[in-house]
Amino acid sequence: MTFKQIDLNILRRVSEADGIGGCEREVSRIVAEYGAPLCDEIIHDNLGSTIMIKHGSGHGPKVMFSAHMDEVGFMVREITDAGYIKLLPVGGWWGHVMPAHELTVTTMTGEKYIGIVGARAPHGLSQKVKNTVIAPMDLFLDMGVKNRQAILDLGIQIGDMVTPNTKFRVMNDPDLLCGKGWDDRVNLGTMLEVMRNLEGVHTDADLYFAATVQEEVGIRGARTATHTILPDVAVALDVTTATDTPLDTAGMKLGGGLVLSMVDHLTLSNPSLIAMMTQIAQANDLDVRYDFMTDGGTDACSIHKMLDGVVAMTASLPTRYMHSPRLLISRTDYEQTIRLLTVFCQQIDWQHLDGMKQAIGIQAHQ
Amino acid sequence: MVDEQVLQALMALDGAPGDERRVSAYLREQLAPYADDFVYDNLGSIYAIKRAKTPNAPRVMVSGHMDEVGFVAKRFNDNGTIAGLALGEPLKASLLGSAVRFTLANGQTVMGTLLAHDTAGNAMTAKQDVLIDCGFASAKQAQQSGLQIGDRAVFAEALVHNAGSQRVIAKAFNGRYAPLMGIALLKAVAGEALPFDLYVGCTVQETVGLRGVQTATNAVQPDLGIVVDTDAAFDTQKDAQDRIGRLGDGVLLNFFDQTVLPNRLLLQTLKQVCEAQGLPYQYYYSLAGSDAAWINKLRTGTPTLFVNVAVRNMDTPQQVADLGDLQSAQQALIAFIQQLTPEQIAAFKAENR
Repeated sequence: MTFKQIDLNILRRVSEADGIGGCEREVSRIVAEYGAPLCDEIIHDNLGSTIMIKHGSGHGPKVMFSAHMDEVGFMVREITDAGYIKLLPVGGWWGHVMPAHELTVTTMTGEKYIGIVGARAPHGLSQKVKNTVIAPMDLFLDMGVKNRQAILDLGIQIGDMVTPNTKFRVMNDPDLLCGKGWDDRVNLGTMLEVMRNLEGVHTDADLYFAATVQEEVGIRGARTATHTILPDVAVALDVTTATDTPLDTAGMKLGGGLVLSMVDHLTLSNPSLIAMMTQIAQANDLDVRYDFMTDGGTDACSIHKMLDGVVAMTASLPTRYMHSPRLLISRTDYEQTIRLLTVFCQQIDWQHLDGMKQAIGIQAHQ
Repeated sequence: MVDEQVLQALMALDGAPGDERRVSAYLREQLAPYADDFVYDNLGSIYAIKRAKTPNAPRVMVSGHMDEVGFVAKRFNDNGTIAGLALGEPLKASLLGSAVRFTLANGQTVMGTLLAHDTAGNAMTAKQDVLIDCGFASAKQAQQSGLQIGDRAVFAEALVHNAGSQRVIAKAFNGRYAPLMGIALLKAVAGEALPFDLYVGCTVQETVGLRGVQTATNAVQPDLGIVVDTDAAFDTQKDAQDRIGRLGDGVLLNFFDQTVLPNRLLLQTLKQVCEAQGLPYQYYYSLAGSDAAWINKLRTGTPTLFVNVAVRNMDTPQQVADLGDLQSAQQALIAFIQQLTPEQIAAFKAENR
C-alpha cells in the first residue's frame, strides 16, 4: 500500500474556518469541496452533518467514520450600552485561557469582526483577586468601538457566533502543528486523507465519512447522522488530552503514534474491533497506544447505542491545550492514524464484522 | 386575544406528571371541531392533526408539555400525615405552607398543605421527599378519605387577575401555556388550507425529564418542530446576571438552550414575522433544558424553534405571566404558521449545510 503525502492545506483551512455548534456551515463547505471529487455521493442529515459516501462491492457492510466539525466557542449574549459584547460559552471553556485573546464575531451574513477579550491590569489587585479565575460568563469582548450602536451598525446581533482568531502554524519542529479547533477538525483532515489514499481503490465495504455537527454541546449530530446512515460498524475519530507538558506528566505524548480508545466516559469500544486495529498497526509498523478516558466522550457515545446497536470504537489523536484558542498536535500521530484507517477500509468486510459480533456473544448470521 | 376562559379552565385542571389525562381530555374536546384526526403516543401525549390538501406534505409539529410540577403519595404515616415525593423540580423556597390538591380515583379531591421536615422550615429533602398534612389524625382516617398510595397532588392556588391589571397569577403556566397556545392556533387556522400537515398538541412527563417528547416525536415524525414553553423571568431578582425574560417585553427569541440550539434561519424568520406584525419580542437564552432537545435530535434531526414566554416564580404555586406577552406569542405563532411553506421547511433543514 502506498500512502499519499499529506496535504497541510486541508488542515490549515479546516482549522482556520469558524464554526461552533449549530453554525458549522463554513467548515462543512470546505470538507465537501475536498471530499466531492473523492467520493460517489454527499448526503446530509437535517442538522447539517455532511456525509461523504464511497460505495463498495455492494455486498459489504456499511462502515461509518465520524469526526465533528464544531469547535468550542461562544455566542453574543448581550451588547452593553458602552459597546462591549458579553459572551455565552458554547462548549466547555475555562476562564484561564481566554483573557487578552483575539476572538472573531461572525454575523448572520458572514461578515467577520475581531475583538479582544478584556482583561484587568494587575496593578493594585489583591492576591485573592489575582489568584481567582474569572468565569467565562463574566468575561467580555472589547470590539474597539465606543457604544452599542456602533456594534449594531456592524450588523452584529445577539446569537452571533464568536470563535478564536488563530492562524494555523507549523512549529519550530515541523512535526508539531498549531491551530485552533484541532478538536475535532484534525480528524476531518484524517477522513479526507484516507479518502485521498483510497482514490481509485475498490473496497468491499460501503464507506460513510461523516463530518458531524454539535458534538461539543451534547453529541447531537452523531445521532442524526447515524440515523441517516444506518451503519453496521463505526469508528469515531476524536482527540484525547496529551499529558506531556510541565503541567501534565502522565505520559500521553505528542508524536508517540496512534491511539485506540478502549474506554471513554460513555463508551466501551468493541474489543475485537480494537484487536483488528492493533493487528493492522503492527503489520504496518505503526505505534499503538491505548487510551482510557474517564472524563469526556466522543461521537461513539451516541453511535454505539443507537438503532439496535452499532459495533463501534474511537480512534484518537492526542492534543495539547484542548478547548483553548491554540492547540498543538503531531504530524506523526496524524499520519499514523491515516495509514491505519486506510488499511482498515480495505480489510473490513462481513467476515471481520461477524467476528466482532461473535466476540461479544452474538452468533454469526446464516 | 388570549382566551381567558380557556386559560381559567386549563388552570382549574390538575395534571401532575404521569397523570395528565384531564388536560388531555380537555385539549381533545377543544381541538376536535378543528381537527381531521388525533394521534397519541403510548405515554399519553396527544396531537390533533390538520391535514394538508396535498398528499405527502411535510409535517409540522407544534408541541409543548401539559404536565405540571406535582407530588405523589407514597406512605400514610401513623400520625395522619402523608409522605410524598415531588415529581419535577418545584422551587424549594416556595414550598412550606403551600396548598396542594389530591385527585382521587373517583375524581374527588382532598386538600392539604406542605409541612416542614425540620425546625429550619425545609419542606423538601434532597431526595425530593415532602410531608403533606390534609388534616387527618391517623393513617386510618387518611385512608378512609379514599386517598390511595400513588395518588397525585398539584399546587391548588386559584387563578388571580386583579382589575386593571395585565398580569395573571396562576399555579401552572409551566404546563398550561402549551395547551393554551395550541387551542388558539388550531382555531385561528381552522378555515385555511395549509400546505403541510399540522400536528398541534402536548407532551406528557416533561417536568420529570423530557420523556413524553421522545415518544411523541417518534409518533409524529415531524419535518419541523415548534416548541411552546415557558422560561424563567429574571427581571426582578437583584443578583440576576442578565435581565432576561422581562415581563411585558413580548415573546422570547430563544437563541440558546442547554439541550438544543434553535435553527438560526428559523429564529431569523420568527423575528421577521414579529417585525411584520408589529409584535414585541426579546432575546432570551436558557441554561435549562426543554422538550425541544428530543424533537431536534431524534431520527435524522428536525429544525426546531421556540415560541416561548417568560414567567415569574416558575415552578412555584403562584406563577406570574403577562397577558400582553401571551398575546404577542400567540399572534407570532399563528402568523408564523400562516406564512410557512414547504420550501421554507426544506430551507430550514438545509440552513447549516
